[in-house]
Amino acid sequence: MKVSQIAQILRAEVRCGEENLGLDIPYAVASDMMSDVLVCNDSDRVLISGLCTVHTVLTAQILDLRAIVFVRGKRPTPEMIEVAEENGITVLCTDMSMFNTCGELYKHGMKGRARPDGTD
Amino acid sequence: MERIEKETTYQETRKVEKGDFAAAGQISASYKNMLKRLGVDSKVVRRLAIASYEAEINLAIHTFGGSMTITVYPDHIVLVVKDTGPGIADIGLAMQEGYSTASEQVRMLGFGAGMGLPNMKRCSDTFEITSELGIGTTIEMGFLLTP
Repeated sequence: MKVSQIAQILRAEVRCGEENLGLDIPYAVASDMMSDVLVCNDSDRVLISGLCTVHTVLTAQILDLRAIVFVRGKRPTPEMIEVAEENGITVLCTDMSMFNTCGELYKHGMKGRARPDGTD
Repeated sequence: MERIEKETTYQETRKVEKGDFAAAGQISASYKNMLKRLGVDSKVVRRLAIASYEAEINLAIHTFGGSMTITVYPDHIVLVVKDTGPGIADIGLAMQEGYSTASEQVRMLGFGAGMGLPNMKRCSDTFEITSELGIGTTIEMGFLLTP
C-alpha cells in the first residue's frame, strides 16, 4: 500500500517525509510498546503507534522503517520531526484510534507480518 | 562507498549513564551510521542496531550505568556491554520472553516488555551473558559480516 494511500484512508496529516508518499509498504506493525516492535526486524512495515516519543522515531530508524502513523491525535515534537527528517522517515498523524486505524488499513489490504516465532 | 579492508580493526567505547533514558539510542544510531559508511550488509547492520538499542535501553533503565564497546574485525563485529550493577539474580528467568522487572514508568515509555535480552540473543550470531549480584552484568555479542 502506498504511503499516500495510507494517509488518505486515515485522513492523516503528513508532518514530514513527503518524498516517501509514492513508496509501497506492504505490511504494518501496531503497538505502543517499542520492545514488541523491535522483535521483528523486517523493514517493509509501517509503524502505527500511540506512543509519541523520540524513541518511537528511533525505533523506526533502527529498523529502517520508512513511515510512522501516530494515532489518537498524538502530535510529534519538533525534535521528533527533525530526527525523522534526517532519517528519511515519513510521519503521519491521524485522530483515529489505534483500533480503527488498524481496521481501516486491514480492510484495504494491509497485513501484519508473522513474528519470528511464526505467530501472526 | 568505503569498504572494510582486510587488516582494518576499529574499536570504540562509550558510556551510558544510569537513568539517562532520553539519550538512550544515540550510540546505536551512531553505530548504524558508521557501519553503513563502512559498507556492511544492511541486514547485518539492522540486526546489530536492534541488539545494541535493546542493550543501551537496558543500561539506562536497569543498571547503575555502564559502557558499550564495539570492535569491528575484518569478518565479524563484537559488541561488549558492561554495567556496574546491580546484577541479575536469575539469568534463566531474565532470558524468558515476557519476564521483566521494569517499572511502570519505563513501560509507559514503551519499553520493559521483557523482550530485550531474548531479542539481543535472536539478533546476534553469538551471545554470552554473565552476571554477579552486586558486581554487574557483561554481555558479549558477535555478528558475522556475511549475512
